[in-house]
Amino acid sequence: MPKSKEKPIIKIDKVSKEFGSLAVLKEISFNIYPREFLFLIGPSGAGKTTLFRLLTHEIVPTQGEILFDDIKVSGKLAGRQLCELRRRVGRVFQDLKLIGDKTVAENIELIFDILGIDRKRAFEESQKLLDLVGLNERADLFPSQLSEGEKQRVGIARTLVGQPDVLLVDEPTSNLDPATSWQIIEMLRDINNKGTAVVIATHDEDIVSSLKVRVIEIDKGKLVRDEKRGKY
Amino acid sequence: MTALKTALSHIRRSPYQSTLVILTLTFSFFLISGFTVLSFASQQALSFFEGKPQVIAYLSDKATSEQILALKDKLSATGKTKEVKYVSKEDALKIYQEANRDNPLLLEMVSADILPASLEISATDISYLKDLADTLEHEEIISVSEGGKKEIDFQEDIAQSLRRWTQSIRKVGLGLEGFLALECFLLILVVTSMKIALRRDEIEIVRLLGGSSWYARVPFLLEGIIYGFLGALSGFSIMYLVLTQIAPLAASFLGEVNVFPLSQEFLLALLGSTLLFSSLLCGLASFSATKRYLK
Repeated sequence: MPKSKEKPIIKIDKVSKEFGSLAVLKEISFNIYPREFLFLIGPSGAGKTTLFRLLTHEIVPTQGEILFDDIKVSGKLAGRQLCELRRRVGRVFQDLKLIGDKTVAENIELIFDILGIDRKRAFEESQKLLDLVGLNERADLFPSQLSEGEKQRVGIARTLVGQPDVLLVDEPTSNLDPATSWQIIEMLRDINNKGTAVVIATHDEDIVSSLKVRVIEIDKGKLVRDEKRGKY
Repeated sequence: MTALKTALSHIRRSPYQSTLVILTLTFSFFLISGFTVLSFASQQALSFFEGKPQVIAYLSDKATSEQILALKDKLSATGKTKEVKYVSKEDALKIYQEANRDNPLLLEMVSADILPASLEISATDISYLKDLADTLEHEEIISVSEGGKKEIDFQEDIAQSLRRWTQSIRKVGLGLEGFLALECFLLILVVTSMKIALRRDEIEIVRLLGGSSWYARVPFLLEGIIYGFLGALSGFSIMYLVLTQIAPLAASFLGEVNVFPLSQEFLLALLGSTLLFSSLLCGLASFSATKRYLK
């Protein structure tokens, strides 16, 4: 848990987002601290994914301010600053967005390539990442040949390439059986223990209530709860 | 290097589309390089005719060397002549003998006395021929034919007609080359746009994972350049093969007009400039597509 004087890595201050006349987020404020592990809960359509999209500058807020380190995420971002933000704030998408005509290894190596890391090192590092997520034997398979849990692991491994400070994981257990869901959560806990802050948007009551970590609840676009050791 | 690999894999993964693009570019650059060669050859032919004496003025037997020299100076002073050459009776006989060396009968009948001396004049520009001929018309030392006309041979028609042809070929060629270049540009623009649309999801993923817009753009740019390079290379190669077939026929048809075979330096320069032009054109087309669709 964050110490009170620790500098937040992400500051969200009175952020609102409207799509036309529809207000999706209304004056949301909270901080995310380094090495934190927290759940973002709320019903479908509450605004969890919209918040993740705001944090990676995929969209910009209608009102309010978002700061990541010294980068003003809510302002105009382009070029290197935008690339840096998206490398340091990793996102695992709900639909995973794996590239269908690339193998597991190629999906991961692509990010090494984006980062300008040479092929030899990229291969070695991707082997380590595949080890970490337990997919070494699946390296040459295409996403369509993997189970949902394995796809989720690839999505996570791919995001870890850039060694992000914060990992935003959107509904990682939505299509998984309980055992696989716990495996994924354990893996995310391991990643968090190595120093990456992890924010998980989820509906999974069992997992949230069992872990007793910080829980932020959003309902109808408003932050209704922020508990240090919360339950669902 | 990875961008090049990606570009090559884009080409490999859409074989029919890539083949169509390369064939269309091949045809276009075959025509472009063909018209350039035609334009160059006609310019060479024109230069040949322009380099030959275009006005021959036959001199009266009474003309003195001072008068001839004065006329030469007068013509040179106009600034319209490239060369004014005096051909004496003896020189004329040599030319006659050379031209008729296979006909001893004709050689026996002619001596230097009956052949006229002449002035052979080359103009700096064909448009001056008329002025030069007019000047000569008023000179007393020019011999007069039985019909009362000054004996001046004047090849304006051939050269003028050739110049008109050359200019027409150049104009039509430039127009056609412009049209074909536009067609190539639009083809690459449309094909690249289609490929971007097909890979929109992949590009979006790359961007969301921290890839720069250039990271997404470069493979498409390289793909356009590869198409341009291959199209121009194959178009030029086909044109060269055709040229090697028709050059001997054209050379025998043109006779003393020494145009074919074309110089290797010219062909190499043409190949280099065609490859450069096509790569730049197609690179620009794919850049325009990425600029439009990858914001």
